Order: sequence, then structure tokens, then C-alpha cells
Amino acid sequence: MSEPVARDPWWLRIDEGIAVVSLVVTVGSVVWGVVTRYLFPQPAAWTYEVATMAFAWTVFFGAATGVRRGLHADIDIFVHYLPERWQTVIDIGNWVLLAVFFAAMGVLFAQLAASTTHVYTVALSLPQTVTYAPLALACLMMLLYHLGRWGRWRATNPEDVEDII
Amino acid sequence: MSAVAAWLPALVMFALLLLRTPITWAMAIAAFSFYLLSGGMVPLTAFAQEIFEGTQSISLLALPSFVLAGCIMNASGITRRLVRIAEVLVGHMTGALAQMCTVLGTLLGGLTASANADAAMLAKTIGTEMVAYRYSRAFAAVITSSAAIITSLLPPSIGLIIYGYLAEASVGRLFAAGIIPGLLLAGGLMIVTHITARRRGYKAQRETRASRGELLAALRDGLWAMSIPVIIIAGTRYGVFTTTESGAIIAVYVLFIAIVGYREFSFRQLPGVLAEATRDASIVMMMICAASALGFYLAWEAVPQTMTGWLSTMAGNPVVLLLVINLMLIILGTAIEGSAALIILTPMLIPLIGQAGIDKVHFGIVLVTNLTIAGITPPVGGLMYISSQVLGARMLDYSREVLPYLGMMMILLVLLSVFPQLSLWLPDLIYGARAVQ
Repeated sequence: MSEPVARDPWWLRIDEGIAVVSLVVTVGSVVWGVVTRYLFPQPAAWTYEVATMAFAWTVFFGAATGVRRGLHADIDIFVHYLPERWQTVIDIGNWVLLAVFFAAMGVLFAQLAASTTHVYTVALSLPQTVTYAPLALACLMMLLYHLGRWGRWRATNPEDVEDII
Repeated sequence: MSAVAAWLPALVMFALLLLRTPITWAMAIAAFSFYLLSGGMVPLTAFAQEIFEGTQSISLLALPSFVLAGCIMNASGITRRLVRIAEVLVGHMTGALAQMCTVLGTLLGGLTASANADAAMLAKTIGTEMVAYRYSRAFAAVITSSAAIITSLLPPSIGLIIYGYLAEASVGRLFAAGIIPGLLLAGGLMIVTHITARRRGYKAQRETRASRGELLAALRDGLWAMSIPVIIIAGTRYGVFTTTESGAIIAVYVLFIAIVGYREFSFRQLPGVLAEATRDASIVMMMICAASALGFYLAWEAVPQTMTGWLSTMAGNPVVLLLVINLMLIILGTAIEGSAALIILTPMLIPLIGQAGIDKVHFGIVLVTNLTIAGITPPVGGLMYISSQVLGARMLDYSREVLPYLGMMMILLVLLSVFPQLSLWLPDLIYGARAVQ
């Protein structure tokens, strides 16, 4: 069983903290929905709305953790057989491509957040900005963590195994 | 869009996959390229919305809950109790530790949802014990990784939840459909293990069968945990909660029995367990989100219909079609990791399956079994990698030892393909032949 991540200082693990709290909210909301259905005359109508919103945050901030720790799996069956110098060129190309992609995702989610200030959720009447803005922040974190992985190209599979254990 | 522009995103994806771009981002970038190439026909913000949509599925809400329940289980001392049950059940058999591994894999399968987690757990517990008792490291790695495959078929299986979402199939029926194939796989593993163990002289762990008293005591000790699959099936069957809600209920139930029932789990462990569950769930979920965005492109350009067009000539004969798809998946599975292949291939194959009149639930069991078997095939088998890493087995030795097990699994795969009743009998019995859960 893995211990709480101790490889990075706490302020770098803020992504993980947000994702964990969101996971608790996700599971807790669904459970509360079942409880109110049986124990109260009026079941809580907001539970799935909160659960799906928190779930989106869990996924995006959790994915940022994946970027920080190099946990997103890749397929190296082809590149593995190329000369070392070619491999480095491919890795640098990937690094640049992903940096541009994370930046683009951040911008798109920021645009979504800005354009939905007057679009409200059904149950809680919250502006959709509340849903999208944290996702833009998560994408920004992915970008920053990714930039910080310059030189550490590969997915860290051995770390995966330790995590699973 | 021109034909070149229509196919470019697919080519981008395959090129990036070959060039070691992480699978999730390769799919997402390929999807993004479609929006860029559409020349404003589809706004770019729609790409962000499609990625986001992957997280808005009610059925996928079950995924993090079941992952969390599995992580709590693994941390709560349940494995020790299940080892005890396995020991009293098969400890008297030849090659007892290897047989115990299969039984433990079956018991864990009904609890933890993740084959990877189970492979690690089996290798750490029984695998290391096997090495201490002079079983070969490669054999120990093979049996621990093979037993973990059972997890992907027994409820609550993450693979089946993902398939249910992508194929728009009933997750409740899929859960029930996996039980008989899972038990058949366990039986097959035990037969192959028995033959190998007799030839090599691997010993029993106890001289006589366990007494009825020992058996009852062990079962009573593990009863709380073993009730979980029953709660899921019974709860959804009788409408107490939905499959999605069952995940959250089980997570709370598991936390309760870990703290109050078994008293081997403290709140101090909780942050680590939550972090582990979050990582495991979000890595898979982000891949599904990327697949969701890619799915928009695939549907827009009718890529699945075109790519599987040559297969559709076989749609008149569902059995032949299933066998050909199996063969294709086995070859693909040696190169692409199982869950990634599941996420990429399901949307492509489902239209074809519908055209051939094959039941989606039946196909889901065949597909998930096939792709999880890929987990023990070199060179990219994830389960193989985990068990070998923990037990220090060499890939060449592993490749040799795994052959009889692979042979048995291929036979099982053919049986599952040819006889849909093996998958459909139980869900039809529980939910009714026409019910949608």
C-alpha cells in the first residue's frame, strides 16, 4: 500500500489535495442521495449535480497529479528500438507538443468559464463558471508540472508499481 | 471536409502512439486536430466541452467509488482473512500455494475492482511465499498475474463499467454476466496449475483437508467482505439502489467494516488510501475523457463503419465475426495496454456488433476477457509487468511459463464466443431476458 506522496513538497501537491477532497464530495453526495431517498420525505435533488461537478474536478486535478508524477502510460514498443539520439529528439518533440496542448486546453476552459457566467445549473442555480474555472486551473497546473519535467521524458512505470503495492 | 482532412486525426493518433506520446494525450491531441481542421465548422470550445462530457456520465460515477472501496479493502487486513479461507479450501492440494493464489484472486476479484491492484497484492502476499517455498520466480509471477485476470470479470469490475459506458450497455447485467466466465477461468487456472505442480513436485501446505470447523471459522471471519458482490447484485436487482449508487454505498460499507468490523484500519491511513484511489481513478478517467472527444470525431466522420467495413462482410455469421475480432484483439493486445485498447476499440466495434445481432453484454464479456488476457502477454502486458517486477522474474522465463495458461485462456475465449449462454444465462435469470438495468 502506498504512503501519502512524499516526493514533492506539500505546496506542489495542491493538485492532489483538491482531487482527494473532490473525490470525497463525489462519493459523499451519491451516498447522501440514497440516504435522503429513504429517510426523508423529500430526497435531495442536488446530489448528482454536485457529484458530477466534483467528479470532473477529481479527474482533472488527478490528471495533473499524473502529469507531475509521470503516471500517464505510453507505448514504447516502437521507439525503444530506435537509436538513443533519435529517442531524445522524439522525447523533446513530445514535450513541446504536450506543453502547447496543455496551454491550449487551459485557454479553452478559461473561455468556457468566461462565457458561461450567465448559464446556471439546474438544481443549485450556480453559474457554470463554477464548474469550468477549476478545470482551467487544473490545465494550467498540468502545463506547469509538465514544463517542470524537462529532461525527465519517460512515464515513470516503476513508480506505478510501487503505488499499486 | 476533404478525405485527407477526415482521416488525418486518426493518422495523428496512431503516429503519436507509435512516437511514445502518452496514450491519453495522443487521443486528445488527435481529437483536437479534428476541431482545428474543421475550419470553424465545429467551434474549438466544443473540444473542451467534449473532454468535460466524459466526466458527466452517471454510470461512470461508479468507477471512483469502486476503486476507493478496493483501496480501503487492500489496506484493511482483509487479504490476510481471505488467504486463510483459501488455505482451508485448497491447502491440501498439490501445488497448494499456487492453487491458493487462484482462490484468493477469485475472492479478491469480488472486492477490489482493479486487476492491477490484485496482481500486486497477490505477488506481494502469496507470490513471495511461493518463491520462499522454491517455486520458480517466473511461475509465481505467471500464476499471480493470471489469477488477477479473474478480477476483470467478477463484479465490481472497472473494465465492465467502462465498457458499459462506451457501449451503452447495462452495467448491472454486465456484472452478472461476468460471474460464470470468471469462475470458469478460475477452474481452468486450477487445472493447469495442478498439472504443472504434479510434474514439478510442488507440495501441499497441509497434510489433510481442513475440518468443517476450520472451514466455518475461516468463512465466518471473511463473511463481511465476501458479502460485497451479493450486496451489489441484490441491491441493484431489487431496486434498492442503482449500480452507480452501489459503488458509493460499498465504499462507505467497506470503510465501516474496515474500522468497526475488522478494526485493522485507522483514520491515519485514510489520506494515503484516498490519494491512491484518486490517482488510479483519474488516470483511467482522463483517458476516457480523451476517448469521449475522439468519439465525437469518429462519429462525425463515420470512421468506425469505414474501418470495420471489411469485417461487416462477416456480420451474417456472428460466431465467425466474434472469432475474427478475437484474433484481431489478441494481436493488438500484444502491443497496446488492455484498458487503452478497450477505450479505443469499443466505439469502433459496437456498430458492427449491433449489425451482426450480437448481444452487447455477451460481446462485453468476450472483449474484456480478451483484453485482460493481453495483460499477461509480452511485451506490454501490465499484469505481467507488475508481478514480474515484484517477484524479480525475467521476461524470457515468464514468456515460457505463461504458455500453458495462455493456451487454456484461448480455449475459454473460444467457448465464451461460441456459447453466449455462458455469459447471458445468469443476467437473464436475475434481471429477466429483456430487462435493462
